Amino acid sequence: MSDDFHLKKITELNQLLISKQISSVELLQYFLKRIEKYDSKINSFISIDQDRALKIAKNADKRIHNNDLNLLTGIPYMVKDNISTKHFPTTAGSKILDGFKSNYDATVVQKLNQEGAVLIGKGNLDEFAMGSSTENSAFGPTKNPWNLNYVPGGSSGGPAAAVSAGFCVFSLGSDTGGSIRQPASLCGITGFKPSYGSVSRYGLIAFGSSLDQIGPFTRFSEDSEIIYDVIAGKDRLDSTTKEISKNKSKVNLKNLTIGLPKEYFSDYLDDHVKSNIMELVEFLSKQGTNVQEVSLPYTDYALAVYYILAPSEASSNLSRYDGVKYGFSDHNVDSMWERIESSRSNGFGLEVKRRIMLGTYSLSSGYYDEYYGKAEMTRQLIKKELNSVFDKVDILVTPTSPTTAFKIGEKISDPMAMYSSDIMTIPANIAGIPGISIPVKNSNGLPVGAQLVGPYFKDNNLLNIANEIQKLTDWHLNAVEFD
Amino acid sequence: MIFLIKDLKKPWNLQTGKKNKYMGSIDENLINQLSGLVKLNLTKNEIDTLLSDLNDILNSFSKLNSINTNEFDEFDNTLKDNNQTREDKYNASWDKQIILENAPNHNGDELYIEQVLGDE
Repeated sequence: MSDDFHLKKITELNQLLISKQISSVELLQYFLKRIEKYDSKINSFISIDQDRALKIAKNADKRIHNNDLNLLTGIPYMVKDNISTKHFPTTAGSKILDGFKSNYDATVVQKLNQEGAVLIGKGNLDEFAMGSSTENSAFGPTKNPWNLNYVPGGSSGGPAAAVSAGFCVFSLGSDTGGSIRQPASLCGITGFKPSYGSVSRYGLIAFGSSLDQIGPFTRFSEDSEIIYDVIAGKDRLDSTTKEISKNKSKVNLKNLTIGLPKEYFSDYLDDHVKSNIMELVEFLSKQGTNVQEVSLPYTDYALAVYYILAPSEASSNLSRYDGVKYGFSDHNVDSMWERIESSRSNGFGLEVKRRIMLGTYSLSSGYYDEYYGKAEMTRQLIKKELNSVFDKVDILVTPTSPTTAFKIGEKISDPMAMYSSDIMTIPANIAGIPGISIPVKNSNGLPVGAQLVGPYFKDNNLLNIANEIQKLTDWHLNAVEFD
Repeated sequence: MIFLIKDLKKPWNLQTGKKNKYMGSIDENLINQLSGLVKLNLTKNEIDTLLSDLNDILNSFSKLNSINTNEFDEFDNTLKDNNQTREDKYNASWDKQIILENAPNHNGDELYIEQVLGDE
């Protein structure tokens, strides 16, 4: 039996557990050993609780012994540290939540725990999920497992790097403007952002509430589907959630029509990224898929819309961090108002401050109509345009990111260059529709991701298309090798 | 075409050659007013950085004003289909001990927070 457990599908691991070829405890120890050996270089975890994980794994072994198991029983995972957990601190990568421990588990964590999945720890992120490189964390930057001089993308860089490096079978991230798909692309794995309203955000630390969504990172898209099926569905604690359709229709690539939005393939796109995406398109074409060029001219405005709306929502959401109720509090000052100001000033990093200021400005009297109001109406225009393109095509195929991973420090002092990393992923958040990034051929030793975007609440269909592609190709099997 | 990274920082409208409307619309006074509103005490370095960054960002976003959005209402919620209301039912809250443990300061059953009303 090959012992590369980090390269196996969930269904394969499940079979090994059922047939007692490996126990859940042994599987956990395999991953803990890899973390101990390699994570000091990558910094994907903010916190780990080995003893607790061992306890859960032992319990999973009992369930397996009693034949009371399902696909995720005994499977080790990580969650991004902006998802609340009762037994770990929840930091959101920020000093301002220093010492904070949630009273409850997020709904997604509760659901995974009920399945018997084994939570190892919490993943690093850009502070409050604001960033595209995981350099803005109070816990230091996460490195890209493919090349330690490069960023893993962001904001869910820790969870993406952890799956890419083989520290866990899957992880959960959050995606407000591309924070699952972009790091998945830069780390060479699969990352899925579900439709807005299909997965509960109860327990997710709010950033841009009309855009935030939780989703999985996995090596295989069929594993993403397994995770999605567990975490999706109506939750009375998140009023935006709806029941999802359990109806799964079989996908035939021959009967599929894909759209290539010409605005996503312009001159600014890295040549290698473009040619590797076109290899996927040619592959699909050979399978009999109908390929059409489409035009989405209002995509041009999506970045501006996003960077007005998301900071506006963030400026409101982050007003709760005042050093009074919980988290970091500066006790070197006397009055309450001084303490609030000092705690926020010393607790938040520069990128968070930048977005609070930008959002407050956009919402201010006198500027509201020109910024927030205009962005809200343009959002409706972009949504309408994207929805109508699905009358002509089944899905869109685009690059996930205009470039491969960039060097640590390369864009950190240039916010507009950093924000442009999300240019391909933001439209799906604006319209609330699902998107998945899957690996295609590497370029100069760094991964490239293709983004598939589908209609609202057709998440399983989108996942099935990704599954069909991965059944017939091997780009996703390209894995990091250490030493 | 999507934003070109190299164009984002240009203070001029590429089509008309005219200076963008919002260039330089945020000055140090406005930064100070905003930081007062959001209770952030910014350092001189932070003010200088934000002054430059926010003007660059807003400048590049002024292109939104070229779009005709007359058919839309700014108060029309794009997510209205998602908001599902439910009957408001009483549910047991968390255990008192859990809440006290997470409070900044407590004594027995009493939870202490900072003084809100005082001499000021």
